[in-house]
Amino acid sequence: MKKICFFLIMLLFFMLQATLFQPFRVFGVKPDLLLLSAVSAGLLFDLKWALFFGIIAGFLKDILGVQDFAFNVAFFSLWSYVSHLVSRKVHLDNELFAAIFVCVVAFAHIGISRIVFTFLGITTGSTGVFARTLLLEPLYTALFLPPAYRVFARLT
Amino acid sequence: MFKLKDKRIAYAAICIVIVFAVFLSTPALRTPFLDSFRYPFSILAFIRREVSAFVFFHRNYVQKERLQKENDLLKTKLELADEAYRENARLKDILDLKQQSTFRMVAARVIARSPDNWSSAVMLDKGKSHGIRKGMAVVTFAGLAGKVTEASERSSKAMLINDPNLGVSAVIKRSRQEGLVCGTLGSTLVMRYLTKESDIQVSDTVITSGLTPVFPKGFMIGTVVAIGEEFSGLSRYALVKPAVDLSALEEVLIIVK
Repeated sequence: MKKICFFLIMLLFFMLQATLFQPFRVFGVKPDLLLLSAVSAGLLFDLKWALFFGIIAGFLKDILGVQDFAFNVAFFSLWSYVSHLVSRKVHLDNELFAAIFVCVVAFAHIGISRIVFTFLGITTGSTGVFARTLLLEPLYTALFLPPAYRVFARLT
Repeated sequence: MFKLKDKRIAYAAICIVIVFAVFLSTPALRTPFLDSFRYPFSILAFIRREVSAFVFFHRNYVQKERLQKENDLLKTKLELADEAYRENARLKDILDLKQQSTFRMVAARVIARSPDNWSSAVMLDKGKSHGIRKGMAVVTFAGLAGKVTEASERSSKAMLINDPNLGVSAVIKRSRQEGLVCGTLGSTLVMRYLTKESDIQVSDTVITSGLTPVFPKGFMIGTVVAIGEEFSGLSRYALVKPAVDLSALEEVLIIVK
């Protein structure tokens, strides 16, 4: 039941991000609720389910993206795995620490995606757009962690 | 740190990632998933539209008043343009010129947007069953909006012109100066490969040149808002404000023929 609830919330996040979040863009940047789900899965579940939800979150993000390969599937499952490892070593019950952790993960994800996309010849906008996204998206995503994490923790 | 059981799970996860990678790279497998999200997305898009209509009631009212006046003015202009069009048609007949073919278009509604910040794409509620195919141009009444990059049976995905991966061959309407318009993910587009001597001014209109086979000639792209020199110093670029409000795109037309 816990897992089904988590899955449904993740689906809801996916649909919110693809539709209702459009007007809430700050300087053209919107939070990555699916990355938030992948990290939360790592913090809340055992490794098997953390990886499963990481893969699903990545799949949902990839299916509406423009690139034809599973970049997010690979990296979201990695972030779920890293979150799971970190949650075993460090207690992340404090929302502030969890938010900082999400911020770091989002920062790393954006940096790596830029490198991978550049390497693969996929254009991702100017350096200014990249810098703006790199600075704003992790903060914006982390801002959503406390309410999202509470919802996840309560329902799961 | 890494137990045997954990290793097995990690291996299994890697295998699943590979399977998904293959899955996502194969349009025939990927498109049914796009279709399955069509109805939930349509419902959410409808809610968003209704909520914003309610919240922005006053703004919409003022806008309606302004548009009403503009509409009256345009009706008058249209009458004059219609007269000119008829005259033009008569002259063309006289000159025995081949009449320009009209496009067949399909109207579609935007039901979702790309969830990441690296691309600018929208999901449309019409697909192959409505005659939509990959590569078709997406326009609005204001001008060019993008092109279809993926089409499933009842939905499709379109890349917008502000995506950096989309290049459109364009000309300055006034001086016929050619260039390539690319997206920046921001509020403006950039027109590149303009020679240093190019005749281009702020507020010039940029239209499609027809050299990119996907985009028919003459579609409005936007207006020049700034001109600059490339870092190399060999050519210039122009920043173009798109004619279409890409952030508030709700309905589009797809040129199917």
